[in-house]
Amino acid sequence: MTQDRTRLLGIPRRGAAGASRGGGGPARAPGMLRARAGGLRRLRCASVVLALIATGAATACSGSGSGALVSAGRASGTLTVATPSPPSSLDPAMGQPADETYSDFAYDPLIVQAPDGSYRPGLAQSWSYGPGNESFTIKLRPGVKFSDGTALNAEAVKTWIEHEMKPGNGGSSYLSALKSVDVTGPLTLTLNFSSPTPNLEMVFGQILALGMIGSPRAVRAGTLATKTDGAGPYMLDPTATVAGATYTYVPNPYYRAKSAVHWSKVVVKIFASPTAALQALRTGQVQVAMDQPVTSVPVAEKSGLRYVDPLTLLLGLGILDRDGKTDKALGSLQVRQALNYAIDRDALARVLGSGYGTPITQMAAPGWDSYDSALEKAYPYDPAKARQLLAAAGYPHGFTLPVVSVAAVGQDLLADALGGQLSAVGVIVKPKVTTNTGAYFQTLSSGTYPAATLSFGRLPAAFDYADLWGPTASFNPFKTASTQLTALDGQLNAASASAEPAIAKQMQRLLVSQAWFVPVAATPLVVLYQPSVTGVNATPQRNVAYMTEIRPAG
Amino acid sequence: MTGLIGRRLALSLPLLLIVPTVTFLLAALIPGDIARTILGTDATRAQYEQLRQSLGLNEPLLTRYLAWLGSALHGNLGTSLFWQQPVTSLLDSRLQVTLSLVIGSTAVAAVVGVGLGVMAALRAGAPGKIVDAIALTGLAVPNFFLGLLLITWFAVTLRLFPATGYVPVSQSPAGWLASIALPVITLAVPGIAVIAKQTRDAMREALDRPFIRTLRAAGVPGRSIIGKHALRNAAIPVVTVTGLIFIGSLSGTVLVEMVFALPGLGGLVVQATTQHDLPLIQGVAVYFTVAVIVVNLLVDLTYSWLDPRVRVS
Repeated sequence: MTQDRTRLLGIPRRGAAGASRGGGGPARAPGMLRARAGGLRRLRCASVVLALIATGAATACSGSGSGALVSAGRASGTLTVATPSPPSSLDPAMGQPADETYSDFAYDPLIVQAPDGSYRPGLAQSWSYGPGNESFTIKLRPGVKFSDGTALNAEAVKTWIEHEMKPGNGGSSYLSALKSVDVTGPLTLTLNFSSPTPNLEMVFGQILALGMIGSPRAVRAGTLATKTDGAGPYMLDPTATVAGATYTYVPNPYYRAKSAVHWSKVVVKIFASPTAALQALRTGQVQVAMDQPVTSVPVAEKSGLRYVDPLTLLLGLGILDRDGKTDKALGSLQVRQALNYAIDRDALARVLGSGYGTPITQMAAPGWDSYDSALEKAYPYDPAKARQLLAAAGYPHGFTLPVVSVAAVGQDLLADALGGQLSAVGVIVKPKVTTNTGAYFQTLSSGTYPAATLSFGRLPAAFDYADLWGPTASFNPFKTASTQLTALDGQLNAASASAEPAIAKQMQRLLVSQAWFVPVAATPLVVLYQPSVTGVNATPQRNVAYMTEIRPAG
Repeated sequence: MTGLIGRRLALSLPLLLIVPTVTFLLAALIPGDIARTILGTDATRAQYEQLRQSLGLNEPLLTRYLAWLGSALHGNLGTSLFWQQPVTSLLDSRLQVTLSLVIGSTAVAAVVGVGLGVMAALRAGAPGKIVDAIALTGLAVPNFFLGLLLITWFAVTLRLFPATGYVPVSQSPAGWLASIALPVITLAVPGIAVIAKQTRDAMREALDRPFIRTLRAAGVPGRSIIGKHALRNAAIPVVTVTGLIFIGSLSGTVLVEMVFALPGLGGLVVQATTQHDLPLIQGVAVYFTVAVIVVNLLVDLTYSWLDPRVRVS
């Protein structure tokens, strides 16, 4: 799974005209009598059509257990899930983080992350780190088969990791320090790294999905982009799948734990419009709706639906040209701090989060390991101080700030809002709003814009350096480097799990003091579901629901 | 008749070349990079280049277009860059949905619109004003808003129809009918408005003509005058408008499919555009162009059936 941090989701009856004409009129000419008969015939036809429609509607609404239509409040043999976007690929190695809804059903991971954030065995029975986190040994569960009947063994996992390491696949991001994979027994293997590589539980878990092992036969055949072949509880039914619209899964006959197969059929349907997804949920056509805007919650609650809101999206402005290579003003710490003082985060959080947003001054949200509550006092809203700092930096009249943005997950709204607030201190924002994520990332990484609006979800702090602010991070096109940050990253990679939060907080303090970003708000995305299902477990510790945990309630 | 069909097809064939060509050029100008869409943001420059190379994206535009044209002439519309599936199979899996919507809504619009228009033409006063009001409302209300209202009333509140989704006719004809009822009504309303007004105006003009007075004087039944003579004479502009409504409905399906979560061509073309999937965009352009050609041909054939002078000329 590739390392794309941004969740960009971030969309007559026929009148009885003949009957009425046939039924009235003062003259009883032969023509009119014939018209009345014809009108009655038409009325009967219309009645038949209406009855047909009503029968079909009753069938469709009541849910016969076929297709994706299920009655409200009654769990059936079919689970229907609404998602906002289709998968970029059904191959877990090539997909994006938003594709895990599709991967979860067909691929068991090596390690499963539980709702409380802890890790438990999946396809791997046990695992351990070597000294300095420079090796990782996995012992596999015996007796597991893929949906094509091939057995899971150490060679199959090695084949999979090699597949992940292909250009553009997830391994090239998260396992960049991998030196070798040694198969030490039929069910054991060791990964050796050239530098400390922690957090491999998450890497091989269901969220980052590198451990969602596919059959080696399918890897060699190159079929995984369009067909599933994993060791998960279900497998894709290509005959009932319409690419980009509906993905149907049926039970995997080789699955190791039959009791964990809760449904006779799973259907994942794409709903570009969140309103359509909500309506489908209210009428019982779907049981779970993923990644819904928080504004759906009041209507959902009134309809007796439930929700979890674990996924937080951070919204803010990334100051990309911190060295002032193309925009001299941004090279000044005073200017970057002025931008932070000029923002009324409370007001923007209310607007961007539709009343549910949380203002933030750091690149972490409350509940995250790297979040430091003391940092929230770092930049109180103070336009006068902002103007003072700008004047001290040599910009008493402000300056022009080009910003690249994208029309998704509120980034374009953020760009507008920032423009309004920064103009009050003389900084004129010139947004370039792209219509698709491809154009957005292309423009951002080209280095032609000194700033960009950002939105991203939570990953371990060790990944933030590689993703966001390290010199090779995709969100650092000007390659700004900081020896202090690099040192902290080194400590983080070599640290134990219990020591990580303190180091991550130090990183946040450094970033806030250097004002590399103008964080604005943390906004929630919610998962809505019917009370007829349970197991929609998404928490602050594991902020993505694991689809195979969803089962009928009661 | 065969000659008429042959001539119309010959005149329409250049459309099959022009529309995909223009679409190709416009789509090539859309900013964005499908390699980045597929690989995400963290691939290296070499990896993007390798993927572009394998997808043929580094070839000159003219080379790519000619290669596409060559295989299209053999019935092969290429492979979707994003889905890695043949374009024709992707389109065919969704064609039934869009055709159900477009044909259904055009038929409903024609039947209801003509009915309302004839009624308004025959009864002056209030019926005419009602038709005007319906026409104004039908044209003013955005179809996605109407769709949301219909879902709220008839699906969520009254539970008479499904809120979303499509049931194939092969799976259940009754379920199919129920699943397209609300989307068809949503798409049909603006068409009803236009056809009703057009029919009313054309009927009034036809009923004022001298030959109608002659027919009445000859004792021809009123029903026959209206249905057999006046309506037939008024039908040509109505047929033209109906054809245009069908063609307009093809683009109207985009929003309707989104509101009702229908797996049709409209949603696919939006995905293809945002993904910069050129072969898929081209494929949709070809399919829509064929639909336009067929509709235009049917309209012309209907003219010739309605008006024998067209056949002779």
